[in-house]
Amino acid sequence: MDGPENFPVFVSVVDDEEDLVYLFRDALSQIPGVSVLAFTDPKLALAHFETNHEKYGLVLSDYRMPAMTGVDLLKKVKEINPEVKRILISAFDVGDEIFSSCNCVDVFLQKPISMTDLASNVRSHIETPTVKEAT
Amino acid sequence: MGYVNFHDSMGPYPAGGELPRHDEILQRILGVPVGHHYFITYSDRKKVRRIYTVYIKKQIEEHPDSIVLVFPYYDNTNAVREELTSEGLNTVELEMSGALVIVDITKIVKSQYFQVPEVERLSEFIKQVEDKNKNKTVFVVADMSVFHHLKKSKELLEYEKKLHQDLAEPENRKELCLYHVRDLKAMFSETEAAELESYREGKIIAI
Repeated sequence: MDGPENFPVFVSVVDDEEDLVYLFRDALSQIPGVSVLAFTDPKLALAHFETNHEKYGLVLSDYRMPAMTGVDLLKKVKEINPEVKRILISAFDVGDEIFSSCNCVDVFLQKPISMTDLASNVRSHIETPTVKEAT
Repeated sequence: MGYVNFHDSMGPYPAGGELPRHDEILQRILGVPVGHHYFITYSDRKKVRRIYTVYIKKQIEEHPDSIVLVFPYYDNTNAVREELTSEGLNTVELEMSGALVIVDITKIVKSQYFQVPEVERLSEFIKQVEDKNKNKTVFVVADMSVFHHLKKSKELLEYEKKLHQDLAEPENRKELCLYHVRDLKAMFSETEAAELESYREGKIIAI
């Protein structure tokens, strides 16, 4: 019987632009051992994270989103489970003050980004069951 | 009664009615007379982008001696330029001549250049453009959702109240303030939303 360590790791992608969120989801779904969840509403993403945070490996969030910024979302993610990696992505110049003030972002990615680079960044920041077995 | 109650659980559309069609909304927005300040509430970014792009193109074509100021928040300035270019506008030429100004609204409201509270900096910027371009009509499209992210909803409400009490909308300006419905709901309580709507009675258009 599979132990919990063999379940896929949850990775959520949060972006209010529907086209982008599905593009990101499809790109990240190629990573073995992860189950990618796409959210266009950061509040729903947070609600899912609150109930399932132990299964999460990483949250990737856009910065400017209606209702809640990516920084506010990642702050809450860190409060709930600091072990989960947090990536902020934006098409805007994000000032250093955001990082120093919140200390909640592990990596910042600038849009536009190729799907290969995105997947490679995510892959390098999560420990999936496949990676664990290989080491 | 306003066109829409953005705090209504039915969402941004008129209760019981059909979703307003793209052309109808565009015609309604184009029909707003100069001298007015309207709220545009939206929940679909693609749709609002499409509508404001066509709106800007039409204003530039129909009012060649005017100035169009665009202050996006969720869309970056290059994306706005690309959309306008895809509609056949020469944005380089228009921006060089000053007929079109596209600035990320965050850059203005966080600018230390203006010695006024953040919620008043956008108005200050617009006033400066008007002062330098007397007799020209100024069309403004500004995404005000930035004030939610800056946590300035109380100040924004006060500012709107002041605008309402002054009853001094500039005669040669037409201003469309965009608000994402999710931001409005997060920013204001139902009472505040009703208050805000009362300031803009009849001047709210839902996309």
